[in-house]
Amino acid sequence: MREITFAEAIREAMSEEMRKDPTVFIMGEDIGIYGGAFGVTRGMLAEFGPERIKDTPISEAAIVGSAVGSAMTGMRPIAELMYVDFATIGMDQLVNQAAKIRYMFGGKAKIPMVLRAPCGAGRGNAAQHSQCLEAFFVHVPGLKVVMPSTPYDAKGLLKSSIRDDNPVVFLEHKMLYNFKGPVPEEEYTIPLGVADVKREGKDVTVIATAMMVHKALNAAKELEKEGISVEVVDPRTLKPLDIETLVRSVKKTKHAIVVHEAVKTNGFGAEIVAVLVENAFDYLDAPILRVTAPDTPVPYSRPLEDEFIPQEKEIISAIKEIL
Amino acid sequence: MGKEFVMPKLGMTMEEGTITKWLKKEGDRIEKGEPIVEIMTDKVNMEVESPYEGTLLKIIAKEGDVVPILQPIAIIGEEGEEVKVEEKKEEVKAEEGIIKASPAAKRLAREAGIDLSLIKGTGPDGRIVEKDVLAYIEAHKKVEVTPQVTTEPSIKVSEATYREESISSLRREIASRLSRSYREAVHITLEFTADVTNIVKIRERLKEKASTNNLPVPTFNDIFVRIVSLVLKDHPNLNAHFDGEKLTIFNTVNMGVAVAVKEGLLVPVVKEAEKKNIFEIARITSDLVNRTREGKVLPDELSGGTFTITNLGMFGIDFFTPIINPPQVAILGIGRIKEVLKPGNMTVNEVVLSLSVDHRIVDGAPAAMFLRDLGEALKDPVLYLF
Repeated sequence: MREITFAEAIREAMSEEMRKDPTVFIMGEDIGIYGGAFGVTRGMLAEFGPERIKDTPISEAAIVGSAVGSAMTGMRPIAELMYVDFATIGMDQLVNQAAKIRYMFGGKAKIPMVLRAPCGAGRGNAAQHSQCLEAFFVHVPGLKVVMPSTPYDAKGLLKSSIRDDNPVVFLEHKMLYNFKGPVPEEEYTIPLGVADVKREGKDVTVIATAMMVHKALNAAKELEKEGISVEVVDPRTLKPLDIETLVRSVKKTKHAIVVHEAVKTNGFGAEIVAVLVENAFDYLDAPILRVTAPDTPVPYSRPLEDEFIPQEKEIISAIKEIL
Repeated sequence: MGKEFVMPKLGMTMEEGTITKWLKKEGDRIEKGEPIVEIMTDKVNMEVESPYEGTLLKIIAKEGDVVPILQPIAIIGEEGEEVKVEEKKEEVKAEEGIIKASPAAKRLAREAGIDLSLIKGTGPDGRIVEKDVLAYIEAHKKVEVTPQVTTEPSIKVSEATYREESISSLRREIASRLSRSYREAVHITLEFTADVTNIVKIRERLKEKASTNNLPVPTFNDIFVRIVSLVLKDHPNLNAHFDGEKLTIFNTVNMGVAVAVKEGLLVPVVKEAEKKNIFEIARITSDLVNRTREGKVLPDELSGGTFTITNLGMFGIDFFTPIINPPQVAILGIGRIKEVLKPGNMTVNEVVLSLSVDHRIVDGAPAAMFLRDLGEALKDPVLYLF
């Protein structure tokens, strides 16, 4: 199978949906001639023109707000934020409008929009451009939240997100944009709310998201040499969460570690731990540990940033602690 | 000073155990994991392994003694050691520390009826984890399996096509009771087709009465409990216990009702069934059946039966060969109630009754007479009252 990058997979998903459905369009800061902060929309202006690849003013409130408005009136907008960190400025539109309208109008209006945003540390972008804020969005009923880890998943899930009639927050880890992986040329989609077992194992389940899926897989490879068999499960969609797959895996291995790059307190990992305790308590052989960033802003200094981001060695030592 | 070997807690509800047999004498050398004593609980008789290696220095509890759990029954130590048997009943509680065990290990131990205090943990901080319990079950199983039981699968099959499971303590008890019954009692099963047309009509009227008076609705099984109890009064030899030598004939009928539960079969008992009216029986059986299925039935409610009814009618079965519930001497199987067309375009309701009796005590003729009388009572219950 051919291999393409995560950014190319996202571009393909959007281009294919735009060719098929004239109501799909993209708006965001510098996504036209410049091709977006991470080059995801590069080349799309030439094919779709400025009406459908819309550059916007530097106002996240306006971007999210006009996405909500156009979605209400029959379009299927894809709004791109330069960094998820700036979602806070668009938060009122997202939390109080996008997530609520379908409910408050008794289903008469719907908001089929996708809010794409790069997240994560690793580029020395400092505290205001490096956060993982998925927990904010997951906490809001009415929003769906997707956080893929591979080009294949990103393409299939983004197509499902665009076709979904509800607002979907689609989080793209910026260190994954150049990550290559197999993506078939033919059409496919991946349903929202279905987790994926990225590696089968029998001794411990590591539940990881985005960039951390790859660190967990590296850790699993290391531990295999020591005879420890690690299962890596990627929820892919944080909301709705595929509880069944997570629980099935933990019932099998009796041990679980949750890994995410976001800070620890009230992170999405806490939700996963709670779900496992509620559904698989009688199958656990050890407490469930979280491997996460510490409760600090993301440091600018590269050595400190490396220290901040959860690494393979921390995953390995957490696994050894509970086995 | 030697180590105390205490009466183990072999089940969730176990409070005391009876020493049935010491498998070792004082002075015998003992390996860790070797069975040294047979203990009977209210449910099972089981060999208990030594948690320690050493010499059996002193047997404190003799065969036949009933000992509360966690009380010392023997001292194990090194040969020549001084033995001091201390009376320290008060301190026993202090020894019941928290056993560190994972939820998975606790669940498995609970399901298998194993006392976690017998297991050594290998997890972090000595926590008992699932594989420790599995290892214990495996080790335990090896002691119990007799060579005759192990049969090689006749065809070599790959591992993926079968799995082995350790059975629950309830299943083990059922297996041992049934094989004892089948080995000892001489089973004969008599088949009798009874006309229950009137019973079907009476049940409709009982339903009406139940709904107007806010009483429990009697099932067909309840009606059988009622009528069989009455008919048994005229056939006391079937309402009896036989232990191989002594026959005990009861003046009252404690009717066992077989109930299928997840792990097997339990038989809760309706005490003095012949003295109870149909609505009392309905209330008692529905309560007993529900609590049996929930595992909340009390040991007392599962014992003392003098006769048993077992019903497979709801599965469409007509005839079967029930196994007697020892020390009882008879069991009545009830099949499905079906409509049968008779000559003259008459429809009647019929049920096949399967009566197994222990031929050592009950011959064919008296068993047949019981069925005949039961058939008459079912056909015309009103007449039977007079």
